[in-house]
This record gives sequence, structure tokens and C-alpha cells, in this order.
Amino acid sequence: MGGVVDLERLSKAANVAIVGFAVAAFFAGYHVSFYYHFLTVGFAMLVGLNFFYRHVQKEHALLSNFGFMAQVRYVLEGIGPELRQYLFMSDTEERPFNRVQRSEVYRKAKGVDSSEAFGSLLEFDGSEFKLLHSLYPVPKSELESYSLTFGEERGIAQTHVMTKPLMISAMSFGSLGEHAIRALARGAKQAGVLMNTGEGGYPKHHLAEGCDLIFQMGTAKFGVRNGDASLNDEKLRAIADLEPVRVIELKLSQGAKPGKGGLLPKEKISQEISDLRGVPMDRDVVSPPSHVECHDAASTVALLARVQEVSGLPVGIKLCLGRDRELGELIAEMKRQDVLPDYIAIDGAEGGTGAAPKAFMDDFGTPLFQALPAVHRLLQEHGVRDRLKLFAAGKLINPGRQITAMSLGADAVYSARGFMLALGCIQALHCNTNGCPVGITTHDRALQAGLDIQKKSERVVNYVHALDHDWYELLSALGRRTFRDLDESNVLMPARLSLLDRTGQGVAGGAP
Amino acid sequence: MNGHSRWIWIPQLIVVGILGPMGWGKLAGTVGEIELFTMLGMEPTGRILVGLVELGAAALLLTPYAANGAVLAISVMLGALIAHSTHLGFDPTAEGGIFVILLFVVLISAHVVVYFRRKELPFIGETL
Repeated sequence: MGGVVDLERLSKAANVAIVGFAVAAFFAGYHVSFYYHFLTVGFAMLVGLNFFYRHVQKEHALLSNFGFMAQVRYVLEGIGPELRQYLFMSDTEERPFNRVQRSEVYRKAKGVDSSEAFGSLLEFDGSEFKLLHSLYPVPKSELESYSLTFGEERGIAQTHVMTKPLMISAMSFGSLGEHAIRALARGAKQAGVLMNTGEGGYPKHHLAEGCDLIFQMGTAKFGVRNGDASLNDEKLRAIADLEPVRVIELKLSQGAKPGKGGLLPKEKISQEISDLRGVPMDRDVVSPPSHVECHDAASTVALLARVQEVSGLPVGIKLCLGRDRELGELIAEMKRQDVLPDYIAIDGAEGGTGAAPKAFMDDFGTPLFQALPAVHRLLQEHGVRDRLKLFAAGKLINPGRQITAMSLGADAVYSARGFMLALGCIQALHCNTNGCPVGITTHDRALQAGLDIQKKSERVVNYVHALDHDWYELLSALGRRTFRDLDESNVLMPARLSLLDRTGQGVAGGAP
Repeated sequence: MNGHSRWIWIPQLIVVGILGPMGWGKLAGTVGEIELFTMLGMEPTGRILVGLVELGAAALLLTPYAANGAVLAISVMLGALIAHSTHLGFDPTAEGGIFVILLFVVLISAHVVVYFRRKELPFIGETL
């Protein structure tokens, strides 16, 4: 330790000084006024704490060597994330979402003008995806409205029509609190977007506002399982018969933790969640890494066929791309059995989560903008691209990235964190502690009290409407009449990103 | 708070049961308390101050901030210990003598609470 102040000597002097102060205060208390003993008690307790730090505890070397003054370091370290976010991080530095990205969502959600002045804060060194405009923008009156029909390829009776290329991605009751779910559901109903229930058992709170739902079947199959996590047809049929449930999603893997099942920390398991999922309250709930029925391509397709048959609804699968050869085999098997999902949702490795093991969050899975063109092409090669829809998920909170995803092959996009930000998320990164300061990812009644369901549902609606406005603006500038016309030629790939390596093919947009 | 067995409420309630009436007695100004604080030269300001701290500690011990309440309880008892050592004496049969016994009961119970809830203390909890 060096610097202007010698912290080492200062801390050693402080260790002696507090004993001296305690003694001095005692004498003052004895001879002058008993009131000085308030100080005596304070210093005596500090001396006691310091004794514990220096001579009893063995866990913290710094406290053992230097005593209570070293505590300053731990306090500062504790408030470091807040200090960095408020004071020291620049507008483009924070992760997962920097201030520029977040404030765009905040402004959209609050219905505030989102134009900016002087110039972009982003890099222009070829390291980012850019959209490539046309010399001949399409007049807005000539743009075609978006429409997508779930289940049309299979010709089933219960199809669902979606008029916006955006859905609220999977967030369970458990990962989110009741207020957040209700606000999202109310907003979804008003804005006319589908909401995914996440893997949280019977979607009691999602159902409460009457919005259209995608029921997600995670690997633990909460809500539709037998004791051994295998599928219970009766329970699935009962869920599928619920009027708001329009689509079923079979989750094979998740971008934030591919190869791992869902994770709900015990801090967040309330009595209600324990009842809805049928799990104990005193330990973390860890879903199995895969469905018990699925051990190869054939058995996975068999499960898909069974869910389609039992539910009678459009059924999609969600996965994060790992080895593309395995996905190729799965698609080949689907063709062989003639069982195709109604959609495949590709979750990028950058996808969000309430809680995930660090290595899985950081080091696993294919990032979305590499996975999406690869899967799109794989489906084309197998000749099935027009027999199903392709969705994309993973940090798609801004219209630019959403349109980029749609240009790289997606028919629609999922966002979860975009909607959390619309609800007022401040990226405090406390989703796994039940201590979310804005009441979104917590079951604490006091913290949820700040989240007004009606007010926040209006933010959700504003966000969707502002995005909807931007999509058509972008579509026009890209020279496309419909979302279906978007393709890779609309996207300038970053120079560093070598899609050539992954797929063996060039990209129409080309690297600069 | 999570992670505690219910028995931790036993010492908490013991402290509340003693400190609550004691704090109330000080605020109400019972004859005995007035006499004690006169001997300490703190009548009436000190008596009211200590009474408020005692009631505050007792109240905190009934909330999720029990660890803070226990630390406050210990600090008041240390003050009482000093008072008895220097001015009042330790004779349990003398005036205010019963307080001496209660003092040690509170001191020990509050220490038990602080020890088992030390992780919940603000700022220093993480390193304890």
C-alpha cells in the first residue's frame, strides 16, 4: 500500500487509537459526565469487533492483518456496482445492456421522443452489425402489414394469427413476481402480442389478464408432469384446453445455460410457487438438463409428435444452437417421421436468465447472429424452411437488432429483457436474490408494492407501439414491402465475424 | 429471514420481554428509575434517551432487522454494566438490584442473537 496516505500505518494506528479513545471516554464518563459513556460503549464495541477481526476470524486475510480499517475496502467493493453504474461507466460500457440501449427502451416505454442529437455513440470500425438501406425506400403507404399464422403449414384446426413480429419471451412466475407478470400480461393483451409463460407450472397469474399465451414445457415439465418428470397427457390436455393458451412450446435448451435445466434459487421460492410447481421450499429447484423422453433425434421427434397430437395446438421447439450437425440430424429425423414443429425458436447464447451457473452463462452456446443464418440455411438445405416458422431470441430489445434478426432468417422475435426494461428494470442484476429493487424479479411484497400493475402495463403497450412504428420505418428504408422480403443482403456483417467458418458459405451482405 | 431455525426467536423474545418494560418504565418515569438516573447525574434527559434506545432495540428485535436490535441491546447493556461498576454497585438485594440479574440475561441473549444473525448486519455482515 503506498500513495499519499500510508494506509498500512494508518490502519495500525487506528487499531491502537480506538483503545485509547475507549479509555479516555471512560475516564471522562467517570469524572466529568456519565454521558461520555455513550462514547465509551461505542468505542468498546468497535474494539470488540476489531479483536474478532484480528485474532478470531481466519476467512479474510486483509481484516486479520489490518483490522477494522480494511472493512472500508469491503464496503466500497459492496457498493462498487452502483458507483460504476451511476458515476464511472460511460454510456456504451455497461453489460448486458449499456445505457444507450436501455434508455431507448425507457423512452419508448414512457412514450417520449427517442431522437438523439449530434451523432451516434457507437463504434463505426466494422465491429458492429449495420443495416443496409436501399437507394429507393418504399413509400409507407405501400408497406404490407405483418401477419403470421401459427400452425398453417400443418393445416390444423386451431391456428393462431399474430399481427406483430414480437412476443414476450419465456418468464415464469417464480423468476418474476406476481405484479410483473400481471403488468406484462395486461400490456400484452392490450398491445396484442403473445406472452410465453416460461417453465413455471400452471400459469395462474399469466392467465389472470386474459392475454394470448404460449405455454412453455421446460425439461421439468412443471404443470404437465408425472412424478418422474415425464409427460402427463391429461394435464397437458387440460392446459391446452384453456382458452388463452394458443401455442405450446417445447423447450429443449436455453441460450443463457445451454445443456443445463432451469434454475430457481431457494430465496425465490414462496409457498405459492412451491404449490404451483410441486417442489420443496428449502432448496434450489434445478430442472433436468433434458426431457426424460429425449435421448436421441428419434425420441425427441416422438415427444414433439405426442405433444402436437395431445394438445391439438401449434407446437414449437426452442433451443440454443450447439453442434449444428446434431440439429441437422434432428431435422432429417423430423422429415423422416414427417413431424415438423410449427416453429423453431433459436435462443442466442447471449440470452437472459433469472439465474444460471456462471460458466454456462459465459462460455456456452452459439451467439444469435451466428446461429440464426446457420439454422435458416440448414432448414433450406433440408427443404423444410417453408414448412415451419423460425423465431429468434437473445438481447433483441431494440428495433435495429430485431430487424437484423428478421433479415438473418427470423419470421418473428422474442424479447424478455426488453419488456423488463419497459417495466422499469434498472439492471441492478439482483434477479437471483429475491431483492430486485424495482419489484420485478422478487416475491417480496414490500418491493412489489412499487410496481403499479396498471401504470406499468401502459409502459408495455407504449413500448410495443413505439417498436411497431420503428419496424415499418426501417422496413421502408430497407426498400422492402413486407417483413418476408428481408434477407441477409440487408445486413452488413462485422468484419471480425466469420460466418464463412461456421457454414462454409459466404453471406450476401459480405464483409467490408 | 431465511435460513434460521425458529429457536432463535426464544432469546429474541427474552430480550424484548425485559427491555420493553424497562424502556417503558424509563419513559414513564418510575420512582426507581428516577432515583437511579439521579445517581448518575442524567435525570431526566439520559433516562428518556436510554428508554428510547431500549424500546427501539425491542421493536427491531420483532422485525427482520433483529440483528440490529440485538446490537443496540448489547450497547445499552454495556452502558448499564458501566453504571453498575462505577456508581450503582452489584448488590442484587440493594435498590435496583434486580436489574443486575436481568442485565446479564439480556447481555447473553442478545449476544446469541447477534452471533446467529451476524450475516444480516449492515456493512459488516458479509465479513462476519
